[in-house]
Amino acid sequence: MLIRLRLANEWRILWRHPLVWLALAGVGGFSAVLAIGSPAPVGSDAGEALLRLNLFVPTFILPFLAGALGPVFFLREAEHDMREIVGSYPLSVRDWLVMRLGSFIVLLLTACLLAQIVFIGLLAPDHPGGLSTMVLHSAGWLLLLHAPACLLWSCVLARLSSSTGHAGFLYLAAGIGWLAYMAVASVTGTPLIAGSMVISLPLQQAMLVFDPYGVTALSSPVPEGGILQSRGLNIAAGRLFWLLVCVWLVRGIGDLPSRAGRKSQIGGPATARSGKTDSIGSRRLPGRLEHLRLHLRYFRRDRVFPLLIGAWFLLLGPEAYSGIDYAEPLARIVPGSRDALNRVMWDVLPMAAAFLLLYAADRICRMYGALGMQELVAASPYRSWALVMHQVASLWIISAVFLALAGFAVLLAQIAAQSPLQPMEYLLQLGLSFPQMALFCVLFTAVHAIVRLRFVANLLNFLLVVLSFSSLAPALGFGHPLWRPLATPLMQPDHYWGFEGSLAGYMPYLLFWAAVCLAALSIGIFAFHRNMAFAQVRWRSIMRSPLLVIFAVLIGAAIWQGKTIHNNLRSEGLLVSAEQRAAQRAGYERIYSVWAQKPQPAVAMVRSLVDIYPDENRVHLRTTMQLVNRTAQPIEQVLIGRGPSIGPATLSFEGASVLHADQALGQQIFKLNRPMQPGESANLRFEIQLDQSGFAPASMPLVLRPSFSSVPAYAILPVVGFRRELTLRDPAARRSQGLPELRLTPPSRLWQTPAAGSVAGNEAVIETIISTKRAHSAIAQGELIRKWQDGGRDFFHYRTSGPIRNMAAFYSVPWQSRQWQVGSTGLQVYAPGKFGNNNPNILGASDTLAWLDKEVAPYPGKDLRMIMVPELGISGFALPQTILISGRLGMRAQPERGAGFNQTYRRAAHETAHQWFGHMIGHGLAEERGFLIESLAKYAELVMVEKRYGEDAMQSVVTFERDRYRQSRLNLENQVAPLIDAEEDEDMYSRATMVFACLRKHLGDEPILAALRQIADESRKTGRPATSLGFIKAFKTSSEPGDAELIEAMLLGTQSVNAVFKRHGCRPVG
Amino acid sequence: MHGRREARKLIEVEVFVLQIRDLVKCYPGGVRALGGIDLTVANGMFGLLGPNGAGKSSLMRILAGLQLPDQGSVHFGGIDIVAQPMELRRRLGYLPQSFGAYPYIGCRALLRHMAVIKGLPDNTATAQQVDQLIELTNLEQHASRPVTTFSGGMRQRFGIAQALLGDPALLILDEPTAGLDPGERLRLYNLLSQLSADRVVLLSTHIVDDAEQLCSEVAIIAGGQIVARGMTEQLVQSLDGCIWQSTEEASRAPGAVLLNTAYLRGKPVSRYHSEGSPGTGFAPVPPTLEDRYFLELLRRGAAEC
Repeated sequence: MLIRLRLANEWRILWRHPLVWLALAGVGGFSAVLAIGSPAPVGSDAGEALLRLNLFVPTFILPFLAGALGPVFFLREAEHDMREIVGSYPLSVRDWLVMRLGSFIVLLLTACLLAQIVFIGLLAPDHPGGLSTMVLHSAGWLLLLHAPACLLWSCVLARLSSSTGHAGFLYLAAGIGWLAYMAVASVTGTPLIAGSMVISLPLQQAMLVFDPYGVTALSSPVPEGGILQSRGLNIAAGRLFWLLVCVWLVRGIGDLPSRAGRKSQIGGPATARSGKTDSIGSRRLPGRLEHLRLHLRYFRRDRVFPLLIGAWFLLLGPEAYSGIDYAEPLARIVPGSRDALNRVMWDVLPMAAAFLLLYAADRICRMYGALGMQELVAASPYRSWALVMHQVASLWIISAVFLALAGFAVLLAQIAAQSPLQPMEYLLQLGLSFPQMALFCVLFTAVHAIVRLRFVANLLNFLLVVLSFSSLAPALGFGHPLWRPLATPLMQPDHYWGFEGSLAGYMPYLLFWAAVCLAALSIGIFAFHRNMAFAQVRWRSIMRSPLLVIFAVLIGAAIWQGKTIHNNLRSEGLLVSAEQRAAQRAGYERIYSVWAQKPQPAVAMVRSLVDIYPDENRVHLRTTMQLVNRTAQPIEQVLIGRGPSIGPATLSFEGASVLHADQALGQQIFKLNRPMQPGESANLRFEIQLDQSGFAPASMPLVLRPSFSSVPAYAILPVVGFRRELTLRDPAARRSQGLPELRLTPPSRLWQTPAAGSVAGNEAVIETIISTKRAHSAIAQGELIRKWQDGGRDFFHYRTSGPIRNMAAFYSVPWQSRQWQVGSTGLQVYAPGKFGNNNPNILGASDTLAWLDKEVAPYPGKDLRMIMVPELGISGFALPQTILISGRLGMRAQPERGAGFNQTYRRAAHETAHQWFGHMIGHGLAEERGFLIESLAKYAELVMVEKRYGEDAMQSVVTFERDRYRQSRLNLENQVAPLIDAEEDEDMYSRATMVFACLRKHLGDEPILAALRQIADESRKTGRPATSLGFIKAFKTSSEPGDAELIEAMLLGTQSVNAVFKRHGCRPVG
Repeated sequence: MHGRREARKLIEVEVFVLQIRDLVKCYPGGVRALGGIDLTVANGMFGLLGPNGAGKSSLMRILAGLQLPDQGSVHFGGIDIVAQPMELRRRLGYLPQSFGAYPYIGCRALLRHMAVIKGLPDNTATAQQVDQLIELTNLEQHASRPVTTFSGGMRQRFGIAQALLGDPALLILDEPTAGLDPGERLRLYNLLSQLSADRVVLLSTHIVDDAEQLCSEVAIIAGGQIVARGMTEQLVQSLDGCIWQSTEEASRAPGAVLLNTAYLRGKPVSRYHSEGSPGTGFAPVPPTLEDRYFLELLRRGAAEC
């Protein structure tokens, strides 16, 4: 009864607080974004989908919610100068805990409940009939997952409030708590962070029990040798441990925060105020430059300042050190300063710095108000611009100091890791980071100067930071990069080309933001409230102020610069949002899908003249495509389409006229002057010039930079007929676009080869004459027929010896090739530095080339080219006759001690295998997406690693993939899709590796190779695409009759992976 | 029923005497705020007079249980307020020198909230008490407005109202008239006079007029020590015949102690303390509490110019 009374009394205050409602609305909105933006894997049941979303609640919602609202609950008296009054009340610690801790837990649980409602509401349409299951599961997660997390955060903040009495500590605790958890989670294989892997197994095992939220135990199966062997026990032990921690925290609360410091000096308003005043000097009016000194001394003596310094080091130093030599799982590099700085300078530091400056801006810009000196200063003769500029200057100094500290933290990490130092790299990276921080200072100060209410100003600044560093703006439909305040395209420097991938756009963006921020500052100076509660100027008087001229000039400059950026981005097709793209694809399907049934000519030959100008970031492409009617019917009309977002081009079709042109979707229907008879051909001519302004960071596939150019003709050239690959496959996206449900037949149901597929329809002879700047190598598919120089440029003539998969792509790199002969095939490598015969890339590619050439089918060409590319988000990518490998992973990475196998070799083998699995078989049918391409390439990996490094190394690959699979699946006992139907990465790669390891163990390689030979041979002879079922059929034929059940269970079975492996004597996953 | 309550009050008044013994408080840096205070305060209004920095607020906060002394004891009606601060707080009403209020909440709602924090039940009786206090402090017209929008005087009256929640036996008021206009100050005088009838009211101030008008008994504190205490009238009467006024320069009155000089319509008027007549040009005047205050401060050597 008393508890209810206390809680009800608390809510008498709290329900009126806008921050409470704002926070709840934020939780609802964020939950909706999560539910929409993080769909569960296809085939997940309602419970699993709900669990996936629920894991985000304690990790991504509660820390922010707790941090934002903690002071409202625990430090309300201090915030509103009521400490002495409430401190004198007969309120015991127990009562206080009931009131504040209780109501805080109630609020956090309410937020969790709200998240559940949003989750269920948005998941329910995808899981008809699963409502009751979801409600039941929700109750479970509230009790098991969220309630303990709410309790923990509440106790931590209550204890901190009691011992410190300062809101800054609460904000800091929430921030550090979140970042620390994320740092640990990122190396323990959490499914919440993309790319998280188990880097430290002991840490992951410890987290199974000691994860404060229990997320690790819920999302990862217990590995063998874990601290406790059962998931339930892990969770129970963890909950008990943290409950005891909560009890300890609560028991340590000596008194109310309002009575904090009772034993020494009371923190009452008068005393505190005078104390603070003493700490920065007397209450006399400061001299002109003294403002700066006072601001800095005030911030330095802030109680949170030492913690900020400590947190800064703890955040950046360990982050830099922990991954300084990280290349990928089980692979390491010899790191330099660039690698060390890259660990923190381009993701952790900018966001942390923005939050730090958010806090510093509040302290600096509101200093005189906090000290009760606002009237004194407001009445002084100091000009507003001087006061505001002192604030900006103070924040700039703070930025510079913290940036220098960041550099020092990284330096210490480098020294600890014995990494060679490159001082210039520090100067460069720190120097390029400073302008963004400096502009944040200007913007924050401007907001504080304009907005009188401190809370509102901080909220606005917080929103600016959130908009800048989150995907909130794109999620709300504002996808333009200029909606992200102070964001620039600058990205981390690459080992090969430094900042070349993004530096060109840095200055234009910086100028734009500088103009915007300074315009805001000019308004801030005009409207500066001088920390008073009322306006100091009338807005209409701005008409007489010179600041209006400055503002107009700056805004004009910003608009001009913004328009330049916008026009360049638009002309390069970079402003098309995901929603617009989905709408285009939906429109394309709606209008043109009828063309899938109409006979259309096939591309038989692609002849291109390509001029790449790396220094001018430009390419000129002229292509003639020979179209042949390979159908049995005459063709009267031809649908020619190309990406609507790629710049203007000219297109002409020999002997045909345009019947219909659809600019919005980039489609043209040509009517042939006379029907194209079976076997007849006609030429399609295409010309385009593409320029890359550099206003967006370089990203594959189209890159036009001085040190590396990649021209993906397959994405630029026109396409004949309806493109099935553009069909929207995501059910939610189809629903939102008003498309009917897609009913694709899974590969396991393709009992007969459908007529829609054709290998020949996807293959063409490719001939290219390509030119580039002197000393560069220009690369295209096919054999190099001739090389010459003309007009100061190098020319290369390539031609494929026969039809290959029609995916033409051209490259220009500043390296000459080196060649290794593998049988009749030349393996040409384009990479900087030395490349020995024992290089794992050479070994992996040549081993695989020789083995598949001999065992499956001859390699369809005379050359295979391997190109090292800068860090552009790809680790390896295979095009016909061309392989791209990340320079970092291909050139610099070495296996870490105890890795068991070489990732570089494995990757080279995998990408080489795609010349068969992907470009020879597996590309004829839209339905065949995973197994024939990726899973068979994984099989090739296993064989190659075993042949080159032995069985132990092969087993290490299996173990690696087993761990990956275990981390990606929440429940290993669930039923699964047949492997040949599966489209999730963990199935196509990891499960396939385990399955083939098991099949090889029982059946050996010969039946598998025989099956591969058979389907490749049949496909070549019949021109029909190979199918997964065809492979299984051939596999069973080439095996003993008794092995059919094993093959079916492995490739077609739907039982849980563990059950199948156990039944067939292979090692289960976990 | 009514009679029983009155009787209990009489007993409480008799029991609840504030006794302060050898109270010492030092702050970091060697500042000795209280240097051994001994004081006994009974029912009625007791004034604590002293210049800025004399230790009044430290003493108030210790009495309110907000701060712990380094030495000494404080008892109120048998309660050791150092050892049993919660017991004291149940009987305490405290108005700090300055305070704020939660935003977004009206005066009446905030008082009810604070009443519950103070341990009162959230029922009709409490609601009535809140209404009575609002009426008593003349805030009826503004009962729905957030306190953060109040003027200084209204805010002080709100402070009095919250201090009176639960009908406390000990009321500690730290500079309650600071910043009030004459009208507000007068209203506050009247209110405090009513309140002091049946409880201990400790009034800390450096405005001598406040103490003289309101308090039957005062103590003068300087440098952390009580330099004088007694009934207000006695303290004043003890100076009868010793206070002299002159418009002459102080140097012409050897032997007399200059208490203060004030300009009256442009002419300096000085008040002196002297056992006998300082000489010609000096006229005897009736003493005031202010004379006693300045005399004690001068004796203490702590007077501030």
